[in-house]
Amino acid sequence: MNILIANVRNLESAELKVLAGELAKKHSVTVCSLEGSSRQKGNAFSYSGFPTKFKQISNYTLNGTRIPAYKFQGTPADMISIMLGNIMRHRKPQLVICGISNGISLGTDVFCSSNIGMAMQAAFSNVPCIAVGVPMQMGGHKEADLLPAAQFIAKNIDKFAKAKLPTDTFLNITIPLVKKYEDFQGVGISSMDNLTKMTRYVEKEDCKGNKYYWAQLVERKTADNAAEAPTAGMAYFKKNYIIMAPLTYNCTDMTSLEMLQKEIAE
Amino acid sequence: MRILLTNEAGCFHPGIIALAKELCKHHRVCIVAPLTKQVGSGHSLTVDQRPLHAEQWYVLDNVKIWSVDGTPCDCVALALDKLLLNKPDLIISGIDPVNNRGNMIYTSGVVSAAMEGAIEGIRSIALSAAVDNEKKEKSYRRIVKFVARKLEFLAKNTPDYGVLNVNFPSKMKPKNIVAVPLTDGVLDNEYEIEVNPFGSTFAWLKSPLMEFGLDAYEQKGDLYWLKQGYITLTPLKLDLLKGEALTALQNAGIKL
Repeated sequence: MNILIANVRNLESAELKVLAGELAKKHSVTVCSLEGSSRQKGNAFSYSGFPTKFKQISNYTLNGTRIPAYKFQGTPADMISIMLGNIMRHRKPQLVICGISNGISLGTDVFCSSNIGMAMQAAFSNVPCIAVGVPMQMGGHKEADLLPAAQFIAKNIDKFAKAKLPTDTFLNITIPLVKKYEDFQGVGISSMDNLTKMTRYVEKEDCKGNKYYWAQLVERKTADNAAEAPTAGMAYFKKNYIIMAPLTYNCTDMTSLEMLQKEIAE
Repeated sequence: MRILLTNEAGCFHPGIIALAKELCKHHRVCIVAPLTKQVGSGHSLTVDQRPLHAEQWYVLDNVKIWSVDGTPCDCVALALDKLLLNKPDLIISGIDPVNNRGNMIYTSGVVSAAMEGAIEGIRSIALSAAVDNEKKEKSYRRIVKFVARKLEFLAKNTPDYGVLNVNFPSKMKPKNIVAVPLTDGVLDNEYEIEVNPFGSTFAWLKSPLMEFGLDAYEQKGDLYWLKQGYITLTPLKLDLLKGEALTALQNAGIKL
């Protein structure tokens, strides 16, 4: 299978190398990654800024096998768009895998997530796509910690590509960190909402007395309201279940739309 | 009503200034918007790259203006957490001088800023218009009058934890208002590839940000109705889970 693996950390990150190394054993793999910090970029494009710089890395090897590799300076959405629309235009991948992301995207995190942003761009291009994330580790993970997650993806790769999902849909796969593959307890399908992160700021003052603000992502406090309590998905995830959520980019609120149509008609 | 205004075109863009001038006649209005143009910034947030700075400007009577050296979503998040003394009752993002319809909403800083407001639990409206550059002052005047007149209707029909995406057609006299779904478009961005004098390769994104296929008009979504000269209203939700895909996923046989 012809697979594109996209990551926002860098080509040498464990998150990219473990997954690509595992999949390259049986498949034709192309990898691409951004350089520098690319967290929380969502679907941003470099439309009003600088152009996107990219370069093919001719000597990128994994397990002794040379793999087509590209590094980018731009946004995650630019990277996928250029890979699918230009570099791989005449050999479109059968599956795009975004990840492994150092961090998971729950609920409304999906709007600002760079990893989900890339997956959405692939879905816009009608290419089957999965986004894969593991719990965040400051500074990144060790390769051994990510191997079970990569093995799960490799084992089910044909099924991901051939799953008959609607064309406006892609999969968000959240994988717990386990020591060995046997520690996974199962695979669940669930939403992972209501535990979304909120953007809050730490106010500081520079040496000239000017205020500045550092963003930090904090978990939304669970409300007393049962509807905002953690979902079953999260409970299972904590018991080492892999959780898959089919996400769509069509966010029209059909219930509100029908009510609005009635109101306008009256 | 307390209203927070933001946009992606910058805090002094004529669209947001026209809106502020009209709405401040009957409401308490504050602008918190990017210092520079942030077209196509989507839901980008400035997190670990650098801190944000905010500056207050005294340009309009009755309207506080803050500029933030970040994206539209940075503006909303910072406004709600630090800059505003009181939470607004409504956020209006725009007026974007291009329409944000179909899948383009994810690339739009204007719609994304409204989404950020909705995530924080504030009713949020995104305003976009196909504005003819030569008639822009007249266009903005027409739009802000419409918004001021219909504000209660628009706010009431903004979904809880969601966004009302409002698009104005290029016609100076729109036919009517319609409530319609987003158009599903296929991404086909065009880039111009350039090699610079040092041998490095660059890709310049050319307009438009997203092309729609020929079948897009047949869907009778926002794209079609805008072309027909209608003002389109599309309620957007924050939950992207695709319920209809659950069975297909169960049947895919994905297991350990």
